[in-house]
Amino acid sequence: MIYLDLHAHSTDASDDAGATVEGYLKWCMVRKNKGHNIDGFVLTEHRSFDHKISYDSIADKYGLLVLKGAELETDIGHMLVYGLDKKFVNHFDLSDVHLSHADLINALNDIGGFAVPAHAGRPSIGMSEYIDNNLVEIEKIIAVEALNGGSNNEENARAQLIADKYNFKTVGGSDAHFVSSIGKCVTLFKSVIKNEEDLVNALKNDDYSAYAGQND
Amino acid sequence: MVNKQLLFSDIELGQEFSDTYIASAEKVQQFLDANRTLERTEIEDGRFTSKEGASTLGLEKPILPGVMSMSIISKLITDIIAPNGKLHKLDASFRRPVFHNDSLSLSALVVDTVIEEDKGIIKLDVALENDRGEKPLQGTAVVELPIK
Repeated sequence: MIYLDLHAHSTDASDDAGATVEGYLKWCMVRKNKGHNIDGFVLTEHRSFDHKISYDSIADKYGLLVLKGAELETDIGHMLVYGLDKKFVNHFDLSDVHLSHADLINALNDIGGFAVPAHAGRPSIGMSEYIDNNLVEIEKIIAVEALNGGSNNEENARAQLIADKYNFKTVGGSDAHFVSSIGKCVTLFKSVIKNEEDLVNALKNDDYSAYAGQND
Repeated sequence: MVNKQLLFSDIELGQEFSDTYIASAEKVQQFLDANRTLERTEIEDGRFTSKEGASTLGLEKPILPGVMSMSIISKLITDIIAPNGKLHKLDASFRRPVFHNDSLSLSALVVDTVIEEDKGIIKLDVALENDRGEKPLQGTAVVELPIK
């Protein structure tokens, strides 16, 4: 089993973040020492993806996993995307805040990537109100972020209701922008994950779920 | 009352300082009376003082000025480091509105401690949290505490 926080932002590329990657790694160790379950995290910087940067060496120093994805803005709210490559980044203008979710998911399927609607229960930036207005191509969605560290309890409950209604799998992510939020919400996977390819394979095929047992 | 001075050696990673604050309408008005840095238009549209003014901006209740939220968190930090500590940096982002009468938990959590150029530097994550479990203000602070 592996516990990964699938949603985090750092000062490397998110202008509203106040945490460095090493700061997150140190805090993960603080959490582990308290008995929390956290084996790593995925950096999902806002509207950007740097395919050149690698966090492997710094992550190895702490015995943790640091992977890369992105948080993009679409016509149904924000989406966490994983398994990106250079071709994808060249094809889409990641800074566009009205990307078509259907085009995005189709393109990700072509390159072996995966998309998850983020903080699905939140107004405006989450998927719930777009579902209510029949604007979501439901059949393209496999999983939603039902546990988000920046959402309130009501918003997370709404996201879980959506997951239950449409039989979506669920993931958890802290949406950390500051050190002490990392690992607040995680996803429990049953398979071994060592890189982005493993992560996407797990998200497509594995049995996984949002994991809430991270109370401070 | 003068604080007993905290020293760098008193601080541990993960240590949390906290306080509470209820953002009453009266306190907001006192802040507005005392603070002259706000834009006149912001004050006149009523967003900080009346339900009607707030509703014109799509808000359910009047809100606190962002600079007031910043002041509340600043006071928490300066109370911790007083009398001889130094505040090097305070940076916060406003993620949700703070409404009148919100019951706020103030926190400053030690996320790193380091000696830099013989100075005891403490890095803190700071936040205001309301009783709905939301953190309308989150940020970071860097303070210096005496080593001896």
